[in-house]
Amino acid sequence: MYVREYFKKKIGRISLPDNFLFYIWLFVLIVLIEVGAYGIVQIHTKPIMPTQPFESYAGVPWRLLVATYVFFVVSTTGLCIVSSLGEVFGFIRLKPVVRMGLLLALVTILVGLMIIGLEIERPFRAPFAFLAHVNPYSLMFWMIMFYALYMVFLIIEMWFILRDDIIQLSIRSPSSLGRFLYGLISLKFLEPVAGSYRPKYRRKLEHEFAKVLGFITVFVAIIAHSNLGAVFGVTYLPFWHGPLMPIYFILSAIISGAAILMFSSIITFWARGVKIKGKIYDSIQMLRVVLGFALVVDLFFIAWKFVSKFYFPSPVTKEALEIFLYGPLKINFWVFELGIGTLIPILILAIPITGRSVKWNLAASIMTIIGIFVLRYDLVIGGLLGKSISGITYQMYSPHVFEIMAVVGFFALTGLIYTIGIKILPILGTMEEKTGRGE
Amino acid sequence: MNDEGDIKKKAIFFGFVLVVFVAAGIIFYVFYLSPPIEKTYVQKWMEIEASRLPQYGSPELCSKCHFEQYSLWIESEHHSSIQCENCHGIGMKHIENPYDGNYMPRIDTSREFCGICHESIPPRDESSAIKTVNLSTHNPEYSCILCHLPHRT
Amino acid sequence: MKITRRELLTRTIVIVLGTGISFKSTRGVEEEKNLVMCIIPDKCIGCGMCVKACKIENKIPVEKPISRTWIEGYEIKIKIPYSESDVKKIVMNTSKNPFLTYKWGDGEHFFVPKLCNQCQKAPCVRVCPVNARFYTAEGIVLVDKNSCIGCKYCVTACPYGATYLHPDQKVTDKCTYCYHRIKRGFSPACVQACPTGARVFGDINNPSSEVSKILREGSVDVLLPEEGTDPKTFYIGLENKFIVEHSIATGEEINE
Ligand code: HEC
Ligand code: HEC
Ligand code: HEC
Ligand code: HEC
Repeated sequence: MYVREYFKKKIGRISLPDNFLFYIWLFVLIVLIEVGAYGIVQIHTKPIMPTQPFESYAGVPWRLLVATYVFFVVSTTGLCIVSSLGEVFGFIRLKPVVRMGLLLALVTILVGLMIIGLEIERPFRAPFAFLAHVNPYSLMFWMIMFYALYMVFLIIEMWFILRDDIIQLSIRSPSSLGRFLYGLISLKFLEPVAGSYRPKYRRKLEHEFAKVLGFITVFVAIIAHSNLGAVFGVTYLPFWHGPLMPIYFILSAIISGAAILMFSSIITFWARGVKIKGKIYDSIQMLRVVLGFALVVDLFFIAWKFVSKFYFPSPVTKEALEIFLYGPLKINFWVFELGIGTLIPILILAIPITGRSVKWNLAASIMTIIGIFVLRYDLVIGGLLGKSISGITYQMYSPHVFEIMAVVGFFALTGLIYTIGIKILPILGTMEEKTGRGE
Repeated sequence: MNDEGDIKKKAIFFGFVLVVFVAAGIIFYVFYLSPPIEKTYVQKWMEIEASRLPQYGSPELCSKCHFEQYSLWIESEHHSSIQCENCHGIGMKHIENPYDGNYMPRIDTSREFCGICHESIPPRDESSAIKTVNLSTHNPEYSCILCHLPHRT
Repeated sequence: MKITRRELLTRTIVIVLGTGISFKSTRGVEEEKNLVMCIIPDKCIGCGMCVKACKIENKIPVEKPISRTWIEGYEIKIKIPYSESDVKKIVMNTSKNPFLTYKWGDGEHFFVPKLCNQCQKAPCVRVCPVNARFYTAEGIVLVDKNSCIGCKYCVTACPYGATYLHPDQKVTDKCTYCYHRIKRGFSPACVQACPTGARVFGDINNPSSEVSKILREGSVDVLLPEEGTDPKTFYIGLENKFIVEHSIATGEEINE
């Protein structure tokens, strides 16, 4: 808003289209997506990643893209958990951001699965392989299985939640195309009575069913997510190995879910010109509580994890941690993970003056997101760098340009899908609120 | 109120049915559908793997054409324990096309070549399985094969 | 008599081997083989012939530092308590031999050839999401390269670091004990190339084979027994090497 007014003042004579900034935003996103696509194509057409032309003979098998994938699926689980706190578990104050959270969860799981699908060396083989010959003992298989299932459930859940409003949209839409499409998405023709008022009983049932589905979805999300934790936890690498890994993943999911929801809801409200006050402000304060609490618990998790591995310095576990404490990842760990990612946000959220200010909340959520991303990166790379029992020891790894390009592209893709979703779906406020047609 | 409870029950029932169906589908797919197909994959791959041609021959194969060297080598005191192809490079292709210059075995007469095995480095001490010499002091000017015929030692 | 942990281990291994033999033979399948490799680090002179032979035999890019089999040279200063810098590890996995140029210091020096241990309870088989890894009748773990999707989970799961990504084929790859050779009656390329007989290969179900004899003499060791992978690559005389257990886990690697 401010920016647009500023522009108007500056270049007063040229009349800008009303949503000029919106088009710039779309344009930037599309350019970035193209950059990412270029990176991905390069990764797959050049000889294999871990060696040429990426010069790092260290050959860390799981790299930046895997870290990004973990980040995305952690976020989707967290978003799903946080929004179902509002939808299913009765945290009513979260209501205004629930739909946004669900949309974001859907976007992140879509992009997340896309990342892992493009990260593996044989992207075209994987779908057929997963249809034809799977290994039920493999945790990775169950992880992908449950994430796919989760995505399906999430879509169904969202459909049930949004259906009523989409039907309203299809009735009110000015263009015939819009009417047709919304009618198609909401399967309006299945309705016995065509009209704006549907039987209360049906709407009620759909609503309840959406809640049940929400419960199932969260459940599947947590299964899938702890499976991801176990994918790391079962390996022999000392930094990863351990039964607490899945639990830790669930916890950190809540952190990144709350942080991302906070960040994107504030940004979205600003961009749509919604004043953050009243119920909306309350919901962000609720997110602040969730985020702050999860961050504090996480701090203890990190602390005890390190202490328990360092207490009796077995050479293996000690070496795994030295990478973080004073090894190649020390800046990532001390500055990004601990400082920017955990301590400063806790402070910001805990101190009343800053915690109650939306701008500070935004800052805290951005910091947490950065911290979580670095934490994912460190988790994946740091675990592998400690692997020393081989002829293929991994020494150091720094992301290649193409990988970074791909990651940027994936983030831009998330932004684009989210923007489109916000534009076409009834996410911001229900129809009932807008039309004043209450129960 | 009664109506409300009814709706809730109905919704939960639907959800339950959905979960049961999905779970049954997964179990059926994972444990009944996929393994049988997998067996044929395994069989096929084992055939492919077994059908790869060896590159590394054996002295007996060389003996067919290089009987002179072979008979020297087989009676030699020491090098009879090492393969022709250790010194001459991998030679199955050469056996198939003996006159093809591309696949001609290499003959390396440099001192460094013998040093790969005979250079004295600390891990190869007295107890090791090989006799070592210090390349820089053991008759430095000459090629090794001048005094030690490789096929005969 | 005091039994150290290692002795106990060795004994259990021998017992396990023994039961393995009897169990397999009672199954009554004719000519069922159980192929194992036995490595005698004492005899290894670090010439790297096995690495070259393996790489050419299996078409692995020779100059890239990935290999199905590789040699680790250790330099260990004997000191109690030892610190990690007392253990140096040099790895040969290309045709270049770093052992000849490395400035060896004081201490104990020895070579340990390594390769895929063909575990009977292989982590890589277990974790593969698409069943691309499986056991053959001989107990060898093979990678179905037509099914592998390149997720690299096996690479992170293998405690021995014996699996890697093939740079050209874009699938994972590992030692197969030269499956195509042993099917034709040859021994694996690395075994044939070894000038000193540091690698012995054969059928353990056949009591007169060379491996059976060597294994029966006792003092058999496997790498990382605590991981419970039941390897089929045995090491003879590893216990003579001082604190080798730790050194193999945590050597400081030197790249030249
Ligand atoms: C089918 C017969 C045959 C077999 C088997 C064979 N070779 Fe040869 N080899 C030849 C012939 C013929 C030549 C001579 C080619 C020429 O001089 O043009 C030759 C040449 C050579 C040379 C000399 C090359 C040179 O530059 O002078 C070497 C060394 C050699 N072979 C090694 C081997 C080894 C080692 C093996 C076993 C793996 C082997 N050969 C098996 C036929 C054979
Ligand atoms: C210790 C290494 C070594 C081994 C083992 C070895 N060779 Fe050679 N071979 C040599 C060298 C060195 C020469 C070159 C000799 C020369 O130029 O006088 C040579 C030369 C030859 C030649 C060419 C002879 C000529 O006069 O040009 C043939 C053929 C050959 N070897 C075959 C064999 C065969 C067959 C075997 C196995 C049975 C074998 N070699 C094993 C090192 C070896
Ligand atoms: C692949 C490794 C290898 C290469 C290459 C090699 N040798 Fe040998 N050499 C051996 C082995 C192993 C023995 C000991 C065999 C035994 O005693 O059973 C040996 C023994 C010898 C001996 C006898 C030492 C004694 O006990 O008196 C001489 C001499 C010798 N080699 C010379 C050479 C020469 C000259 C070359 C270069 C053409 C050469 N070797 C290349 C492995 C090699
Ligand atoms: C001028 C001739 C000559 C040359 C050239 C030569 N040697 Fe020798 N080498 C001998 C004699 C003579 C002996 C035996 C003397 C002894 O046992 O100390 C011998 C012994 C050896 C032994 C056995 C050592 C032992 O401790 O029993 C090896 C191994 C050996 N030479 C390798 C090589 C290698 C490798 C080269 C090439 C770098 C080479 N020789 C070059 C003459 C030569």
